[in-house]
Amino acid sequence: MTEKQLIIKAQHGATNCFTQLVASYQARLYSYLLARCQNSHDADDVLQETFISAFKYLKSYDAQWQFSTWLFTIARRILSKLKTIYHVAIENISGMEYMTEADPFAIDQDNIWKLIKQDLTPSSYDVMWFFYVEQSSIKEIAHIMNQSESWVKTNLHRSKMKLSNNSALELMLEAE
Amino acid sequence: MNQDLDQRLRQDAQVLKKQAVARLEQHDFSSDIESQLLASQSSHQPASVKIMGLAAAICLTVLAWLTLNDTASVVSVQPAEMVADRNIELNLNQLPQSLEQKLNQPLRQEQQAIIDDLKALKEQLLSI
Repeated sequence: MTEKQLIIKAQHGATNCFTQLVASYQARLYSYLLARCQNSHDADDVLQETFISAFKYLKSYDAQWQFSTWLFTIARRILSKLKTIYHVAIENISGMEYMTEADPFAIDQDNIWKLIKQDLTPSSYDVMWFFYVEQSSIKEIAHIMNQSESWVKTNLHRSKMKLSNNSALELMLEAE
Repeated sequence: MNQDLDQRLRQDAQVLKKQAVARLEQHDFSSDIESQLLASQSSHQPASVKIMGLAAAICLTVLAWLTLNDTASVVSVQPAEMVADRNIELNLNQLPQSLEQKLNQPLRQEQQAIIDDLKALKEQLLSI
């Protein structure tokens, strides 16, 4: 069965077809979420929430966009919601030491995506990810980010310029 | 540097992808998601409940519309001043009648009772 057929059947309530779609996209989505979230538990939660929301609003999916574009758009919205919840939670536990367990799926220190996270804003980071990893078109990225195509191009150019001035990054690339 | 950067970005993203796949193999998310989807589907209300809710909403809307419409017609036909005048007039006309009834009724009843007693006494005397 093709992806289009799976989507149509899932739109009519076939959960097994939707599960097949989940299986084909979960690795791509999950690697993005692992790179973007503070820990793997958050990535797990956002992944589940993304697919549940996708199933709930599947009828609103516009076939002119790739299915992955639609999923990443939902995931980004849930991530921003999670960020708001975190802000509230951190304000509520002020004065308490927030202990976290060692995360086995945390990004390695020598991974470039970990390094550039400190230099770029979340939006610029996302643009870089969709361009280099997902290899999405500028049009698709603009749709995910809810911005214009020129905004994406400018953002990408500025991010590259910023990274080229990063001495730590230069050392990392030279060492290679 | 740009070429090296591009290459490194793609290369390290592949490492993250492998990490993601390893995690997904450890934890089967698709079965979790499927069970949650089934749970959300079963918790949906049956169609009959939805129809009843819709019917109730329509009835309430119609009632509200009728009430509003009724009030509007009364206000437009009779100005508030006229309604107030009529009320005062009615009250004044009715007041003496009700007072007379309240005061005279017990007296009339007592008078009737005395007459009855006298009649009874008269009959008793005649029978003797």
